[in-house]
Amino acid sequence: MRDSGVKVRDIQNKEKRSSVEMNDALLRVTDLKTYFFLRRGIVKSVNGVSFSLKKGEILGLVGESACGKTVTGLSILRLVPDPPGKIVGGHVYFEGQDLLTKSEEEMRRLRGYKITMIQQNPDSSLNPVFRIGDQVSEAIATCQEIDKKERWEKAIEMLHLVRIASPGLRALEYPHQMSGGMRQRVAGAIALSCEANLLIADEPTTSLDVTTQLEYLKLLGEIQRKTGVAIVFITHDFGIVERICDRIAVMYAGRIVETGPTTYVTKKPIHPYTMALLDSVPKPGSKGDLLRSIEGQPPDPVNLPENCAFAPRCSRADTRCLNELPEETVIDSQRSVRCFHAG
Amino acid sequence: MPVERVKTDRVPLLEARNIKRYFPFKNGLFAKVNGWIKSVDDVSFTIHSGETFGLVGESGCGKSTTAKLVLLIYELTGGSLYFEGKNIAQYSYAERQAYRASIQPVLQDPTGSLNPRLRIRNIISEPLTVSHGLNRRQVNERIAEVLTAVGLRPEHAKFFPHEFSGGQRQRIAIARALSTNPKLIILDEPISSLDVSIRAQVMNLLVGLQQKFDLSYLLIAHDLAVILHMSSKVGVMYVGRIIESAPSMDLYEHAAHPYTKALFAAAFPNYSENSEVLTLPGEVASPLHPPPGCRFHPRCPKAMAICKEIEPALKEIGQAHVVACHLYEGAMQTGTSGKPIRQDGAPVLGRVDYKQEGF
Repeated sequence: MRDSGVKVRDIQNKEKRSSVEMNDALLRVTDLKTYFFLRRGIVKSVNGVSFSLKKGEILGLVGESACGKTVTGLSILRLVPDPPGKIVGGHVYFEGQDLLTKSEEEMRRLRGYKITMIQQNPDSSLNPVFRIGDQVSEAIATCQEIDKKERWEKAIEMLHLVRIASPGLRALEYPHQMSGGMRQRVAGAIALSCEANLLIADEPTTSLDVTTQLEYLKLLGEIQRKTGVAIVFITHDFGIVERICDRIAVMYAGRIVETGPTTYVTKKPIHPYTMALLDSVPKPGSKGDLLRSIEGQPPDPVNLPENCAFAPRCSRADTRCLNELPEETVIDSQRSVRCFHAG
Repeated sequence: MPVERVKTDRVPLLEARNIKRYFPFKNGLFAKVNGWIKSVDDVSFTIHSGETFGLVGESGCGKSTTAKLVLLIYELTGGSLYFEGKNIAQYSYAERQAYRASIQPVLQDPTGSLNPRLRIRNIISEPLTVSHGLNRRQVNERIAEVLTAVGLRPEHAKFFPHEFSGGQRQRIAIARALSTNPKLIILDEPISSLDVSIRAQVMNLLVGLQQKFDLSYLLIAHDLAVILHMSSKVGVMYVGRIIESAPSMDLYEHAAHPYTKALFAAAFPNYSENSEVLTLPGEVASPLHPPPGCRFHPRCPKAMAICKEIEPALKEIGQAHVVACHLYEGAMQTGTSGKPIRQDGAPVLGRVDYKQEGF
């Protein structure tokens, strides 16, 4: 119980990894643009997103609903529903190759093999009429040509890895016979069954109960250390990224507004949006105090003007913010921010 | 099991005494009743006027059922509710209607709780037409009044719900609750469906309205940070029962029950630094077949042999602080507890007083 596996990595590891050169990036997304062409206008869901991910790193992609974090994840896998969505620009380099220039057949071979995904709702990723064991071994079949019996054994091994008790018996059950937390772990087993290098986890803990969430994060951290998989962790919850991620990218209205190592972003944020977001969370002992809330609402994603999207709600905004789009500025080797008045 | 209540001179606004709600579990031929789901099983709490009582727990623990019992949506299976000192079961029809007008709900999802075909004006005036004999002009005045109170404009009355954002819709739901001039508002997860940047606005609004109109809240949420921020007293529920209850700051500083500690560890990443990290194995028990003994024992890191057999009763361990856990058995009376023996035979440190435990 004292094992603090939730605070996944130690600082030593972190330093070692940050000294690795940029060329070693497993995933490098540059100026990615994914638009949705609707009748009432163009929704620029992802509007020039750039980030990179090293081997074995966990990046937290944080933002409110409709800020484009899920579409970023789907764009990497090229799973954006088309129509109405379309990737209109940018590059996604995975292991040095641009995924956006690959044929559909090549992409199909990568998905679930080298790059996998865990969805928010495990029920949408599990088939209710097949046994758990069959579903896991089906995933194994995509990458390994082994016979059925071996696959079944491997599937049980995978279920054991995600800590399903008595996996041999559980493999014979159907999804509805399991609890939500277990189903989400099975989805994890399927995602990791091919020893993928990159896992895109889209709000994997949101549908779980609070105490189950913590257990799941701990498990994800352990598996990450065991397999060395790199993770893009998409969430709206700063409490979760703080526990598991090495770096954080904060998104607002289709753009990354701040990136940096987790401790910097959560302890010393420099973008006014990140600051305000962290400030608005109630803390113990704040009872009855007025919370520092962010006034106004997230912008309508249709036909966004080319200025700083946060300006109308920002306490530091001036005329420049309302007319110009701030460029991404690198603060030091690890942090960058998109704001004229950062700091 | 009766809990010794805090002695106060004031009559509480609402008092729940050992309330229960069981649902039949039917299946098979002719929908035979095969068991009972004890959603709310022996829950007691008091809410004084101007106070917020927070109920926290995970899904399926019975907190929303408790709200529905208070709102008279469900009939009680057992126990009784006292409103301003009077048992609700003895109410006449007219008194029941008056009671309904003085407690109003605000539900989790404003998109679901606002009729999409009605204008805001009609949504807000609906409870008024049921309970108050106001004429049209007075109703319009009241609508403008409550809309202004929640930070909207009177002109918004002519719009439909879809024309508003999520945060504004929740404001409308709050305005509707305010329209009958209630004494108690039941807030069932009022902010969890809202965007992160909007939550603080709505929480500030609720706290402000409470002070302005001297409202009492029964706040239901799964997020302890929200509960602590808004409540004066908190009850922690697990599978149909309140397992710990204390004034909110006392609960934060001296959480006693292992489940409460785990909830804190989940809510505050830094919480575990000052005490042990508590992640719980397994899942919330099913209320259909709650485990024998303490309902929490299959997940409890400190479970002892006794926990599997005897269900712990609520014991007072501090000022208005009660907990149902064998670790604290006899903590108040004797000042010491016998050394409990774990299943594996390893002695567990005797828990003398929760304050000495080094939180």
